[in-house]
Amino acid sequence: MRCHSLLPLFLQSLLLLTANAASTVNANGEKTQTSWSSSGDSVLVVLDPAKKEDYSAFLDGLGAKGYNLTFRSPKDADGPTLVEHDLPKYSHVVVVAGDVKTFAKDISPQTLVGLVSGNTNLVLALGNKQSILTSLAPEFGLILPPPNSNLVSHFPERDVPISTVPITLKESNIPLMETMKGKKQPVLFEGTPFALSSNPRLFPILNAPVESFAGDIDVTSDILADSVEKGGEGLWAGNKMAVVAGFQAKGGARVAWLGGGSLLQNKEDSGNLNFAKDVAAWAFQETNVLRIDSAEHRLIKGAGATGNGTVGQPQEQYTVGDEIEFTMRISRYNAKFKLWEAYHGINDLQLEFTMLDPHVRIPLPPSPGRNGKREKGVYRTTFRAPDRHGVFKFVVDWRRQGSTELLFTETVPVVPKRHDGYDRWLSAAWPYYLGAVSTSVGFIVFVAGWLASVDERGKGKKKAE
Amino acid sequence: MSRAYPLPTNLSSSTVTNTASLVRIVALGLISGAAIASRLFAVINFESIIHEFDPWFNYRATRVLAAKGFYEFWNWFDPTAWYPLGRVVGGTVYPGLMATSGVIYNVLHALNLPVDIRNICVLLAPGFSALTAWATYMFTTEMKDSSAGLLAAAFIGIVPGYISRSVAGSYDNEAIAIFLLMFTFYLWIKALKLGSALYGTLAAIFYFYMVAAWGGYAFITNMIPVHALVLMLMGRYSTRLYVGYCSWYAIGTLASMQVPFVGFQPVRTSEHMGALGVFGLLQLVAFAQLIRSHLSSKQFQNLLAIAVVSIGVLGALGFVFLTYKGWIAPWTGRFYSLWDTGYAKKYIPIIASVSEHQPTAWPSFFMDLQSLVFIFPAGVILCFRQLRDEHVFVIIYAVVASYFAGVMVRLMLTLTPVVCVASAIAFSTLLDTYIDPTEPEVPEEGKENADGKAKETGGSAALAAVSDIVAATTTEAAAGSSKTKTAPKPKVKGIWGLDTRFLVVVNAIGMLCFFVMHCTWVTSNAYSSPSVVLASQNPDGSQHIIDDFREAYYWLRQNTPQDAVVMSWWDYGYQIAGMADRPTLVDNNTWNNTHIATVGKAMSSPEEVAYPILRKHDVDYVLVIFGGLLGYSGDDINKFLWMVRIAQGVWPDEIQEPNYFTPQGEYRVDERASPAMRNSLMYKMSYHRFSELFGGGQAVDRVRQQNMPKQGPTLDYLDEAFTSENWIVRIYQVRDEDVLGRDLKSANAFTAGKKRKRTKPASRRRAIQQ
Repeated sequence: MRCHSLLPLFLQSLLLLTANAASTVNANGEKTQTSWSSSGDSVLVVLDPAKKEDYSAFLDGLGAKGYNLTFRSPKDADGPTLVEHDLPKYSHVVVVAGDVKTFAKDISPQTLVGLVSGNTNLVLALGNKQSILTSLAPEFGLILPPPNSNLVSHFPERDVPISTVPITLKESNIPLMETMKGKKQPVLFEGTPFALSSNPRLFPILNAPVESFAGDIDVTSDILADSVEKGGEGLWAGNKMAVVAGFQAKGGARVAWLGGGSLLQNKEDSGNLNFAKDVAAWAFQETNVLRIDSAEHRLIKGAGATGNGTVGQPQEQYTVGDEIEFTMRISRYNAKFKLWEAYHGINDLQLEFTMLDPHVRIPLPPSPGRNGKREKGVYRTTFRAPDRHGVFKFVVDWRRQGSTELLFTETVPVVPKRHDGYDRWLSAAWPYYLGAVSTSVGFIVFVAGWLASVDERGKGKKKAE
Repeated sequence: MSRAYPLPTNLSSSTVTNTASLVRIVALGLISGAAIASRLFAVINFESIIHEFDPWFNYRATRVLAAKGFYEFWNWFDPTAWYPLGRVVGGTVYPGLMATSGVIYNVLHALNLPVDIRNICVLLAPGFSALTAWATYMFTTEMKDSSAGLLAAAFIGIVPGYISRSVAGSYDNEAIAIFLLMFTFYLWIKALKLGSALYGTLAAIFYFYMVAAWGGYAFITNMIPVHALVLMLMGRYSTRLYVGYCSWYAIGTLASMQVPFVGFQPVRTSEHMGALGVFGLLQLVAFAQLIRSHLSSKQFQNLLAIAVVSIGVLGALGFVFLTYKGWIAPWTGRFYSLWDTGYAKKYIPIIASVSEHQPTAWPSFFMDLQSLVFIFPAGVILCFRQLRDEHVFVIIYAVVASYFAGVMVRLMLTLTPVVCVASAIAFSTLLDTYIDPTEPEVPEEGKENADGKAKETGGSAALAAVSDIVAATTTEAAAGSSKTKTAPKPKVKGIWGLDTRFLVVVNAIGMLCFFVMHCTWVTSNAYSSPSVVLASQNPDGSQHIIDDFREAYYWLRQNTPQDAVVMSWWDYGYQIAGMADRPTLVDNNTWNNTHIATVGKAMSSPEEVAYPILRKHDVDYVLVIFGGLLGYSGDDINKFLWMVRIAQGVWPDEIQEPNYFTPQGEYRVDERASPAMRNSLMYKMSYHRFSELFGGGQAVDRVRQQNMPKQGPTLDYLDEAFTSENWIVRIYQVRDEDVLGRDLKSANAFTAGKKRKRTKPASRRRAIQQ
């Protein structure tokens, strides 16, 4: 696998900066984009039309970022389809369940998973009723509390109902949140919390407060007893539960799970709008989007010296003991300028040289610069090919929660030395050299002596006769 | 002297010899033609195609050699074999066969004959069989005379035991190795007879060629020393033996070490120690002879006794010490399995799993040798009558090869030449005796004498006939054999009349005719199938070609990425590499038992155990051979127990052979199949959607003759990618990991619409430690 080079994409983004029109097709036949997202402009919002006004601030915000919004009612069977010709039709899909119980037939859990496989980003807001989303959630590793339970907290004392819980963002949530940075306003949450399974692709974006729990808001007295019977003692409580979770699917699609649609609604005096913007920015691949632009390896020192390969060039195959240099260029998407810029900020990248098991596993640090020139976004290391022939793989496998996975593999055979690739004279072999030389010399001396003595022997024979 | 029938008397002796040599040349030419022609059944019945398994690798290697030259071939590292380990082909191959084809290819192209390399490979074996016939002629001529030689050449030309490994398309090492074997033996006999360093050196050169061509060279490495040793023990030490053996051993060993695959084995492994020991012994004996000529006999005897004992003890101790220190490698498993036929099955299942390593069944002796198998002992006994040095060789060869042929089917090949030689000696003696027109002089009491000795007449008369030749051969040879007291006293015995002669000769010719018919029949029916292409008969008797293998391999070639890794049982590795040009996990070069056991484990484990193994080895496709629809019995389900056994050898805790049998100990694939069997990847891949094929009727596996259950196995981790026309080859694609990180089984259940069970968050309370 080779990554495309940086240049065409860079040019494309330059074009983007100048042509600030709606979604058009440029001279190269590539679709230029108008939105901030790195993966596409079209958004399908599945939302009850009656409730559309409640979400106006959030949806307007998306429109302002250049997204093309299409609306569809959850029950509308003839609405715009999610999948056309077996391919996802929209780049991003927002599903707000609200109090809808049955969705149109073509909006099924299976379709939504199919969208994720087709690299469509999803924002899914659970409703207060059992719906397709509640049956989809376990596939993503979300563990939902028993039906009809809400997040409840009696602290801090407040005027609003106990099921509207103010949540303050913690430092650990901040990296994803660009707009929320520095703003202390709590998020007002109303909806269902969920526990998270051990699926490494799933991670919490916003945890429930430590004193909150899941319960039925109508019968306040028997909450604990109920949940003991339903799901075990006090398990649906505490800050291990999340109200917003992110999921990074294989292939790059992102899914944001929201415990309730309230997070996207217009709420006065809260951080909800900013928070929703940040969650959508992450889910629609505006932030924390990384990419491998190129990766290459080349021979530094080794068999090339004996004429078997060219030093300084990439090789089809390496010889055992070769010095190999591995270089990788990584860039990050800048949503504001809609371009990819070289990214120097990863300090824990690792390179593996693997055949069944990693024979070499070394850090792949950001380059400090070469020949006095700064090299932004370049990660470079050198290593010695192990003394073992076989088909090896260069592997860079970097997975961090919230960031795009960086995965690179390329196979390259490492071959044993050629028959003439060994040293010609070995000091250990001197006894054998001496043996060969002395035998040869001895033979010549013997033959010479034998030939020289022919006459005498002939005389001797004659005498004997 | 009376004669049974008149001979022309007006011919000069030079005319007779000239005519005889012309007839010999014509006969040899015809024999060569017959040898080549009878091997072409495969090309005529099928097509010009490489056969079976190993030849596909040889063919592929030859193409590399022809395209890139010898040095690139020598340094060829094949990254597609044994993925991801790779194979250093140049250093792990006997290059003689490929080099031979490469030379022929280059010569033909230099002559502007643009012959395709494939046709050279296909026709190499028939071509070399003609040379084998010639080499056998030369060898047998040394044993008796040229008429026996011609018979031996005719025998080896068409005998099925040799044809089985040398039909057109059977491009294997044996194709040229048998010629080299016979020719090296001929040169050795010649060197021994003449005491010639030139012939010894020539023998060494052909020995080197043999080493470069076939792993069976160890047969020569041990046959010649055993012959030399026996001659010494018989008190037949001579300077001829010394010169012949030393020149052969010194040059041959040095030359054989030039083959990269052999390397230092000739001085480091037990298989080669016999030759070294005999070499040392010869020096001692020669030295003893020298001392004897300078000392009185009394002193010499004392000295000899002391020296023999001390040197013998020292040598044995040294050998034990070197083996103990690991400087001499101990005997290999393949060697032990030659002596104990049960050894391989117990300790090295991978060797026992090869069908050609099984002990030979009695009928196959008749199948491969027909009447020769009865006549052969007579020839060996005739060798005892005269017992010259070279006859000792034939006797030893006959004994050793007979034993080995009984142990392993494939070693039938080494027995065949000596059978042909010995049978030819017997046959030609018989014919000599009965065609010879000389009538015995009849004294008075002759009649009853002749009647009484009727049984012996053949042999004795043969001796009379042979004694002429003995007299004619070199005086040295005669001196060598003079001790054997074979000179017969002139007694009156012989054959009277034409009728006796006629009866025996017609009978003998009849046997030869039946031999020819048998050979032709066996060759055309049993040994000419390429096994890549199968043939069956339509109801009207016409031939129906079953071409599933190539269909599937070409599908792989054309529909999968160049670097898609294909996993299959090792039998098909070379074919996949040769025909589909895709990397394989294991192939017929079974050098890495663990890697093969890994494949065996994947095949015999449930899907969820096998899947991580497949992912770890980057497997994209899995290929299985399934004969249940067509009744093709050589399929993977029948080989499955070997996979289990080999996997068990490495992972005895995870794979156990008894689990794959029913509680009654039956090997079943129907409803009563054991759970381990039914869950194994191999079973699932073989019978996936099999019952659907019968459209609701009873599905029957025609190989096992068992009724399959209505509900076939389902696959979660693999997708069916291709199934050939007759279902012989089935190819599955390994699915990618799930996009949501679930295991594929539950992902499939979800896609099928099954509801997942409600889960609860893991309890954070822990049980109190006791």
